[in-house]
Amino acid sequence: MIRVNEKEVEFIRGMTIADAMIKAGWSTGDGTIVMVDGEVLSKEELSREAESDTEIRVMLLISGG
Amino acid sequence: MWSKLTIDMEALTVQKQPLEEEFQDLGGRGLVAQYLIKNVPPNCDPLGKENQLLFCTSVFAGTRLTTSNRLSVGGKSPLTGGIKESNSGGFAAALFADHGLKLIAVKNIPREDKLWILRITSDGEASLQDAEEYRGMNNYDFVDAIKERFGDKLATVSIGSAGERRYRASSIQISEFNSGHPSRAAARGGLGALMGSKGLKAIVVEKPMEKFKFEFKDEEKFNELALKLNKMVAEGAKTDPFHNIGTIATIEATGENGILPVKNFSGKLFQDYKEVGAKKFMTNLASRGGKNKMACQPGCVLQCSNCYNDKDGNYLTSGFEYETIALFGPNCGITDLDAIASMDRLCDDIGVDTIDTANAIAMCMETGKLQWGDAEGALELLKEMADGTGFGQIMGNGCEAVGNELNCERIPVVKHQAMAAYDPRNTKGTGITYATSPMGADHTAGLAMGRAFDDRGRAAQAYVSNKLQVAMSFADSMMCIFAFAHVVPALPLLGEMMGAMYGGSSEYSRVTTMGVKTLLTERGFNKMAGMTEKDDRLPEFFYRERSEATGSKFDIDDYELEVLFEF
Repeated sequence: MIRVNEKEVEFIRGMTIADAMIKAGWSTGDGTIVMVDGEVLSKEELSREAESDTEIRVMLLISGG
Repeated sequence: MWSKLTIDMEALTVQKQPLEEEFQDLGGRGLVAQYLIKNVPPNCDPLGKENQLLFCTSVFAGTRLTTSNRLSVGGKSPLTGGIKESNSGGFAAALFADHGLKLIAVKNIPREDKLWILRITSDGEASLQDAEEYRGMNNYDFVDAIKERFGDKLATVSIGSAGERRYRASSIQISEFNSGHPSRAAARGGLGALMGSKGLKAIVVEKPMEKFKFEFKDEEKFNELALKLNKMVAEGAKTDPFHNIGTIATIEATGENGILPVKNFSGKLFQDYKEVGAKKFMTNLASRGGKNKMACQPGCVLQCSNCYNDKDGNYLTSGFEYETIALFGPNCGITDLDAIASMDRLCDDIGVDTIDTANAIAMCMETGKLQWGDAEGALELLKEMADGTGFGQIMGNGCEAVGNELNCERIPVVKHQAMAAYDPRNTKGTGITYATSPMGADHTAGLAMGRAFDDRGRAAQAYVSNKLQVAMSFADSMMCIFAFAHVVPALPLLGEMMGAMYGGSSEYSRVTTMGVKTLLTERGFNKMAGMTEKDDRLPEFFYRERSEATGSKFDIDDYELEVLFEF
């Protein structure tokens, strides 16, 4: 099982981080920051294959710094 | 009842009185606006005796509402020539509130060229003390010296050599909660120069032995509502990049879509933006013993601050933020995060606004005084500000002064204040805010970036800017805008909290009215100070040059800007 924030997503072999995010109802577009197992990923890295116990944290940027 | 301190720098007196009834339920930006319009002639010399320097706590200061201990610093701006409220975190506002102070008003200027400290002791005594021994001292050394003299149960609000020299881009630095580093800044608008003109080197406020107890109309109800909002912020923080990483995370969101400014707002993309992005930052924190998720003020559950160490693991800077990183970084073609951190430290130390200063460096690069990407050269120029060389003094007056000195044609300022790190061609709502905010080009006045990703057109952008500017003007009167973003679904509770704290109406309209009234008062002040509709425009090159990243120009016409505040 993959966790995207508080939501569990069924792991399917070959699925990418982006696939898991979309399954959990998240967009992979502008304005989101993604951390996987504590590591910040760039947009290109979202096509990386997910592992069965991946912990994904999707964060929405709602104001500037 | 809240109190105010009036500091007369000519008579060298300190007077504590109850705050006037009409200001009791105001705070922050709202209080700055209403107090200034009644007490400072808008056409006065910003560095003359008629101007006043205000330090205001928020509407909900001293309460259990998270992030309610922001500090609003106000006055007529030496940079913009208009009204200025510069909002900062740090420890001081919490301690002012614990002493029962909502307002400190500093008026007149000293007869002699001397420096003073306003000291508020743990038993609540406030007095002016000779500070000549600290003349020329920058903020980090100053804080160390003060701690050695008075202990560490205190907060400082201070100026460095830039404020003493009356540089128009100088900041006022506020010490952070816990660390005590002077790394929080009321940076914008040159209020450090105003403090310098008053001969006030610092305010040193000690933790009170006995905490002021405000008489709520209904304390139980207030605390119940505050708890609800605190839970919303804490819940939101779990997935907020500012909490999990820091504001540097914004780089990841602006780097690919043309919002991140590159080489003096050229409109190009910066291929190496990740060199100064979240991943690099987090890697450096982890490998060098740095820290994030730090609170700059007590009671903050969002905790977006950080401590950034150098390669050897020694403290370099804190409160290392997106604006500083983006503007000294990609906007100057610099990719060395450590060099940018050193620039941040130097700016905090001498006390200058990193936004105006970084844009000033970009002016030097645009005109060939420095090469794009020359971090070492940039650091040398920053040191010239501290040394007070001829060019250093021009640098201290900010982006526009340097641009004019070097005959630069593309100077990214509005109302003489440099732009923050969002290209207004690709976030037009933010561009509208830059143009029309009474504060000058200020992203915190209404950053429409979150909506720019699904741009519904120009009218929507104007609508969003208008709504956000009203919201930010009351948010800046109440709490940190980062926490505020998480309570948006429950904004009517703010009205109920005002009723529970001060009595009177509990309607949300009490809050929104405060926002609108603040904005209109600020605009009225600016008009009386001599500003016209022409001051509500972006620099011409944003209308003429297309962003290479998107092909977009700033195509909001003058009429749309002129009717924005016709409520």
